[in-house]
Amino acid sequence: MKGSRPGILRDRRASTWVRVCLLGGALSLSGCLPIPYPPYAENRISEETLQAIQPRLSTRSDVLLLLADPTVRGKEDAYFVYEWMQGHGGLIFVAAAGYTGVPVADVGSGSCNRFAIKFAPDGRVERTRQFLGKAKVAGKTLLDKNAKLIDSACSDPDLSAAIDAWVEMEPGHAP
Amino acid sequence: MKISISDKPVCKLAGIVLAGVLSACSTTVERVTDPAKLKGLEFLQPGTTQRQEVEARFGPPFCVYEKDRVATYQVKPFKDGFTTSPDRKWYSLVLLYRADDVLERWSLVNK
Repeated sequence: MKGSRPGILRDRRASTWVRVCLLGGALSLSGCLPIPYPPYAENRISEETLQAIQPRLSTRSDVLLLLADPTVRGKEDAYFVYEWMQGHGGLIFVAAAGYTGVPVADVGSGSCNRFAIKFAPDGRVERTRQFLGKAKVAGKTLLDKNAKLIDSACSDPDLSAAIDAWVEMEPGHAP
Repeated sequence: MKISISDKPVCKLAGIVLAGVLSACSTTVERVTDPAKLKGLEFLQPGTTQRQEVEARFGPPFCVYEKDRVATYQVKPFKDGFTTSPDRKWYSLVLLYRADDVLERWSLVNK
C-alpha cells in the first residue's frame, strides 16, 4: 500500500521511544540512577586512512597493511567491507549496591557504518564507498551476559542490500 | 565531627560512575607507529626475516590473503614482546611476504 510505509516507520520509532522511556522511568523509579554517557566510536576509520586508499593505485596488500582483517571478505576477495560502530550517547542505569554501584542496563542510540572496497582483477582498488547506517535506539540488560542486544544497530538489512548492489555494479556505473 | 564528602555513599557511587563515564573511549583503526609500542617486534626486518621465523614465534596465521603472500595475526602485548591472542583482539599484525617467503613489508594495526 503506497504511502503507508512512512507512517508505519514513524509508529515503530515512536513505539521504540515509548518502550525506552517506560524502561527508563521504571528503572529510575526502582532506585536506579540514570547516568548519561557521551558519543563514542568503535573501530572508526579516520579520514586520513580513507584518503590513503587510492583507486587504481592502492593494492589489496596496501589496504590490509592499513586496515588489517576486514569484517566481510567477498568471494575470492573481490571486495572487503570494514564495519564500525558510532554511538550517539545514551544512559547507563546504575543500581546502588552497598557503597558501590552496579550497572544494570544500557539504553542508547547508535549507527553501524561500513566502508566497502571493490578490487579489480589485478588486485588494485577499483572503487570505494562509505555506507552510513541509520541511527537506531538500542537497549540491553547488563546483568544477563547472554541477553541479546535489542535492535542491534549492526543488523541492518537495508545497508547490507545497498552494499551488495554496489558491489555488483559494473565499473563506470558506480556512483 | 568533620565528615568528608567522599565518605557519603552517594558521592562514592557518583565518583565510581563518573570514572566509568570518563573512561568511555573511542577506538580508531590505525597503524601503530610509536616505537615504544612496537617493542618486541624488532625481529621483523623486511628483506631478511623468513616466514618460518615468524611462524616459529606466532604459529599459523589467523588469516591469509593473496595466495598466502599476506598473513595476519591477532596479537597482544606480553612481557617484553607480543603473543597471539585468539580470545580477544588487541592488535592485528599484518605481514606481506615476497614469493621467496622473505618479509617484504609489515604493519601493526590498532583495532
